[in-house]
Amino acid sequence: MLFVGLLSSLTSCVDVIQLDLNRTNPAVVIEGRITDQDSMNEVRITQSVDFDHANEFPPITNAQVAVRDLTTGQTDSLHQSFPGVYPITKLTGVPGHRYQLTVTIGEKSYSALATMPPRVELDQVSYTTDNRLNGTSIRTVATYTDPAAPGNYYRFVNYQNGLASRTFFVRSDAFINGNRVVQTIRDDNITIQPGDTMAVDMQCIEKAVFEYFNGLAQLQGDNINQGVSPTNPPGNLSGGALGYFSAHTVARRTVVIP
Amino acid sequence: MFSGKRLLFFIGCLLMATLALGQTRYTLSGSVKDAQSGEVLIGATIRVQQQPVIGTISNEYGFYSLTLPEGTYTIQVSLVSYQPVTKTVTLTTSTHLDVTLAESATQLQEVLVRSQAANEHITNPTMGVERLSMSAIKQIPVLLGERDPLKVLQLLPGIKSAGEGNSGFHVRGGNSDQNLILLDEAPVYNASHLLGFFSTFNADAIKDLAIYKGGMPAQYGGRLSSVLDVKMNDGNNQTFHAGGGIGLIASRLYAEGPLVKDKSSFLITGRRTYADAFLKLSNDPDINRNTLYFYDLNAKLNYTLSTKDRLFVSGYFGRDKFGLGDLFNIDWGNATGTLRWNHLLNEKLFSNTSLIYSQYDYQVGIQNGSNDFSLTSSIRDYNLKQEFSYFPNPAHALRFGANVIHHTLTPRNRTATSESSSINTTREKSRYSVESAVFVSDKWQLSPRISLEYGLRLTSFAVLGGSEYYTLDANKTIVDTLSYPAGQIVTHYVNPEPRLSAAYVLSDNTSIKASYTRNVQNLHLISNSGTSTPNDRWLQSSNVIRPEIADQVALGFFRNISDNRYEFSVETYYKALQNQIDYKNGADFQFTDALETQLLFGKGRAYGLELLLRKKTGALTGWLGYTLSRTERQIEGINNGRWYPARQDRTHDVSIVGVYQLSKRWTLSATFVYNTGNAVSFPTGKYRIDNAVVFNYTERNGYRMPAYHRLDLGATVQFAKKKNFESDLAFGLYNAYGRANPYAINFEQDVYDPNQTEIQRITLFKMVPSITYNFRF
Repeated sequence: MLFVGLLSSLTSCVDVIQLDLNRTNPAVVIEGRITDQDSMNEVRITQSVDFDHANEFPPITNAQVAVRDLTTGQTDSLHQSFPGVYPITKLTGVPGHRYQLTVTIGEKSYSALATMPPRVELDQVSYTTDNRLNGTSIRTVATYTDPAAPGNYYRFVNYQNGLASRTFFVRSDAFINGNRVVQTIRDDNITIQPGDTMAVDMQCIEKAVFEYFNGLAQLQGDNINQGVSPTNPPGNLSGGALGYFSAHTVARRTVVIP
Repeated sequence: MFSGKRLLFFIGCLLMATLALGQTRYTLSGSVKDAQSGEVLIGATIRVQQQPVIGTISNEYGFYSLTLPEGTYTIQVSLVSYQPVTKTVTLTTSTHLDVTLAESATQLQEVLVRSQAANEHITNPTMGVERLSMSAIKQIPVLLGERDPLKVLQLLPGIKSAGEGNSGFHVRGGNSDQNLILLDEAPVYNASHLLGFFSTFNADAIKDLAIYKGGMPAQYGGRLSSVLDVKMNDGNNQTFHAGGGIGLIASRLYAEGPLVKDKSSFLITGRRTYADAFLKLSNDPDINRNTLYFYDLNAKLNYTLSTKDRLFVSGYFGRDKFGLGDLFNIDWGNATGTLRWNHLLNEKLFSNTSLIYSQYDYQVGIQNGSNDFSLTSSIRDYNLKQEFSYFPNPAHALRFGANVIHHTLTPRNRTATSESSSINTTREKSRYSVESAVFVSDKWQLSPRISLEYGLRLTSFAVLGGSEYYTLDANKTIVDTLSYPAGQIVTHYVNPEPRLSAAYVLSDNTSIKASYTRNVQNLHLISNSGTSTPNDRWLQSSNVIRPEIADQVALGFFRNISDNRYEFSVETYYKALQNQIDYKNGADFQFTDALETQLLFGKGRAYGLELLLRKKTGALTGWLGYTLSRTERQIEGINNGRWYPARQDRTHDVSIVGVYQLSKRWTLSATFVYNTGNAVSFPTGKYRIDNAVVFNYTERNGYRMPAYHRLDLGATVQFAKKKNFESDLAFGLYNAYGRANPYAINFEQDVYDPNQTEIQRITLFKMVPSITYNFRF
């Protein structure tokens, strides 16, 4: 799509238009994550809205939510802390353990299984400047060593002065297996400035979660309806809910951009 | 299953049947050539005045053959935009007669109206075929003034553009990879430059162009939807000429002439774009460090070895280069070569032997400091084709032959290009296959009113070992990797492809035609984009991917109006397609080498109605085309197994083309197109994941792009001829009224108000003027 970018920079234009998009019944959206950290372990349940509405997603406040560590048999029945937010307080993720999420909303129930992959350390976070057609961008760079066994999947999240970017950025070890990896994180939703404190989370995720976020990353790209038809990525939740349930490790490092 | 033995038997019977006829007769044969250049002329009509039913057409090498009882005949030879020639021949023995035709000046066009060829449209049984002359192509305005045969084709009913300014096309609902594009018999795997904005066909090099939308004769095979048969000029064997053109984004040069007069000739043409020259003008180093250009080279040599033998060598080489500073570069291109030997075994039997090479490859280089790597991929064919044309008597014209192609498909090879790169160098093994075919067809004038063209093509596709194949489970996960030694047959597909078309002439100016065609396709383009991109990958049929099969029936009504001045036709078609390919939900091409795991297979159907009213002569020429059509797929795993519109499905498609000869010097032209927008997937809602807004896509291709329409204008002024120097200046205006046709529609979180989402329309070309200077001496 870079060619189009170059060519279109000479002749094209972008404007905002209105389209009459269909309305649908609100869908249940479940985001569940259990990590090897003490914080960030929670299940959030919201609903989808029509396209022309504001980005306010109604929380589902009457859900029965439980997470069970299938390896130890321990169950945590969750209690809502904020509307739609159900923190996991009794369990902390352990690599190799298998977890089950169950959510019941009225008559309907949803479930998912997730296994936490082995932890990979994030050795360093640095930055680089990236020359693109539309100027120079500062990018964060993660350095880590991929384990010798194939089948590792990573998700990277940028935090700019403490605020998480909305870019989905995932990588598979398909082409880098077993190597020391220096990964530039392309993130066009934030503009990194000198003086910023940048933190990067590296999550070791399962294949199913990788496929889910890789699908979301494609939906974030430009000119998507010029390419492969955009589709909802397949999540790992049964029962017809949108979203995912992930058990992952988190490694975080920080860099200050001079 | 249809066996090869049975086919041979069938061929034998057919030959016997036709041989039994036509003794005590003599054969008149020879070539039809252009008087000025010595180029052989394709498709000239040869008629016998004393026997109006009898006639033939010169073949792709200008050869014709007519067998008649002893006697004296008046032979008329005619071809559009040439002055017809009449010759008297007394046949007391088989006779060789070469005919030269002179190009007609404009004022002579009235004569053409009355030529016998004018109702060819009515009598030829072949349906769904369109021939375009280069002179028509040169008058029609196009984007940035780059004359492009493929863009002119898209103005015909049943042929649709793949996108704004794109040279890719869809024929009768087919995908863009279902077109067999041949340049001097060599398949061109990626016929586009600069992401499809230009085609690989340089108008200077091209003699003739025919497209078959259905009812393709049995000598063609390998793709489902269409055959685009492009023939290069042979080169002038009389005098030396050179010419060229200077345009806004590209310049062209060509030279042609005799090596030995009347015996041999050469042609060489070249073209290069200089879009990147504009980038260099920028002061911004982020822009002026980029490269963006392509070039094409066509060359041809042809030797007349004897009255019975001709030898041709032709080649094409084209390359695109694109670089984004020192970060990213990609270059890609086609190379083809054809060595052909025409041999006249006797006055009724014409042989053509071709050895053909064809290659497409691309290389991508990515340098981002830490993960530098390059990707290379290619497809390469060696192709041997033997074909005979046999003219036993005036009622029959037979063609039969065989064809063997060896394919090598090299998937993406990844190479680390710096010491510190974390990318592993991988060599994926190439996949090999042998595609072979035997074919026979006969054009049979059954009675003065009924003519038939029938034939059979038997194709075999043998997937050869030497690389790995996969066994997939229902979730498309690899459960087993199968390794076969080189040379071993992994799978073998044999398919008979019957072809039949018939014409029934109701009156001098009216006929009805019907056809049935089966086509099989064993090479499949896996594109990660709707438009053609250089890194699209070809896959061959395998244990997972089955051959695509299309059965098409078509029915047509043809009528010429007011003394053949207007041609009118209605054609309807219905196509049933098997083993069609689409992507699974959330398909990934970036991290997946085994593409089979990302694909779904199902069936398709396409049907439509095409209307065409054409005016071929007079000061105003052009056509009016309309297509009503539907193209659908049904694939398990997409839209719950319901029929859904294919991306290229467009209900209405209108095109109007007009060329007006204002004076001897000025020609004006205009084209107008209107079509229903493509089927696309738009979101029906949105939700939140982490802190991003994600769009909810509930249905594939459930929406439409806005309707597309555009008017292009052109004007050409011919300068006075000085000695042998001719020149003209062509002006064009693309999208004259500046319609904002969306190239893409994006759904975005509002940059200024993150609590809102917005729909953005990207428009590429509004009112793009062009100017091109062409010369010839």
